[in-house]
Amino acid sequence: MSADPRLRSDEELLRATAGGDEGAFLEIYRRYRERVYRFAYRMTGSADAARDVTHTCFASLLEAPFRYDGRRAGLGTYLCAAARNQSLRHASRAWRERPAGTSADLRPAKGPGPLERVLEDERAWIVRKALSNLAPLHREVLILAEYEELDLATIAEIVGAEVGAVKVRLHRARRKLRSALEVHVRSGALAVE
Amino acid sequence: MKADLNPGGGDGPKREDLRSFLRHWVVPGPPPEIEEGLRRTFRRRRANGRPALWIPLATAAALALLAVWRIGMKDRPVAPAPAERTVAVATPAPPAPAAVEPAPPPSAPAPGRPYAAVSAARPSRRPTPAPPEAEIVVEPGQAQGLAELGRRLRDVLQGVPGTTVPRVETLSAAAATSPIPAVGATDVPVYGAEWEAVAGEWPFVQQSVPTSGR
Repeated sequence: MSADPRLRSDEELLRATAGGDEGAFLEIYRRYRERVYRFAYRMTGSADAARDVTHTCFASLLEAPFRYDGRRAGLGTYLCAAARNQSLRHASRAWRERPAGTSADLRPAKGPGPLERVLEDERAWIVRKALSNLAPLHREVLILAEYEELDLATIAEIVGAEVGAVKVRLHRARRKLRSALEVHVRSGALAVE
Repeated sequence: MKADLNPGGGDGPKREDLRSFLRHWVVPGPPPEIEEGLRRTFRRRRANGRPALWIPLATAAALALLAVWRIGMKDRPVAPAPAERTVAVATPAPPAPAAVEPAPPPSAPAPGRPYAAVSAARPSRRPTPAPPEAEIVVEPGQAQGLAELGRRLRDVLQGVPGTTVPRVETLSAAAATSPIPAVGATDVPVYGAEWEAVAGEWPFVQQSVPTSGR
């Protein structure tokens, strides 16, 4: 076993984590934090929720490490699946508790800045709004396919569905997103680069 | 992606255009407080797990102390038991009530007496009495023959070392009370009267009832 945590495999790091090696645990976090946080952010549309989801996912490796089975999927896939479940749970809770109007995170950033920055913020807000209006089952496969660039088998493993079902969901998600963005393309808010 | 993601049609931008639109939403990296929170969680769990390691260690230490104490108690000199008590218990015949010292209850040792001495002074198990000699009762005529056979057998086996020959005694029929009751040939058995009452009857035989008319 190598002394440098960056050269160790996920299984070795998990074993070292179970043995009380804090460096091994933090190496696992550093390997997968970007993917888990980005996915949770795009699923929930909230930085606070993404922070909670990310913390919960990695803490689950400490609370219940037996849930991860390395023979079924990789550690990144397992963490994404955990983030997906936590995000859906958070989304259902936020849907019940949300006040009238949109979430603060969905509003475009305000404040002084260059014109291009303002335009970019507006484009980002349009995309976020269109994504958040998708059904969660469509949103998750679209995020995993387009942003995380995962293959269909891995997406199916994460969302717990067959590959064929993932294909169908992805097709419908794309069609709905195109319909939602069509108005903004015609108005000139979104332009093909 | 190997899925058919470009179905065509006029329902919006193409797949590549869609991707470029999606790239407008750039998500920042995870804030550093997540790592700090996880670090605290890890240390808290590790600190909570430490007492669990002390439990088996403390148990093992307690067991070791108990074993040492038991060994020390075994090595202590045991006080001799009172002679009169041992004699009184070992004697098969019940001793006189005045000579017997009242025994203390087993669960309450006498104050000031060590536990090992009390255990040693406890009465030993009562010896099992030897089984009585087997007695063979035979008819008077057969007894003579058996006695003769025993004498010949004794003469044969006397030369063999390490063998014991049963002792044969012949008693007269009048000297010992025979366990076999003398029954006369003309005596009526006890059950005779009952048998005579039912002698002419057949025993009850259960016959099957025909179920059909054929």
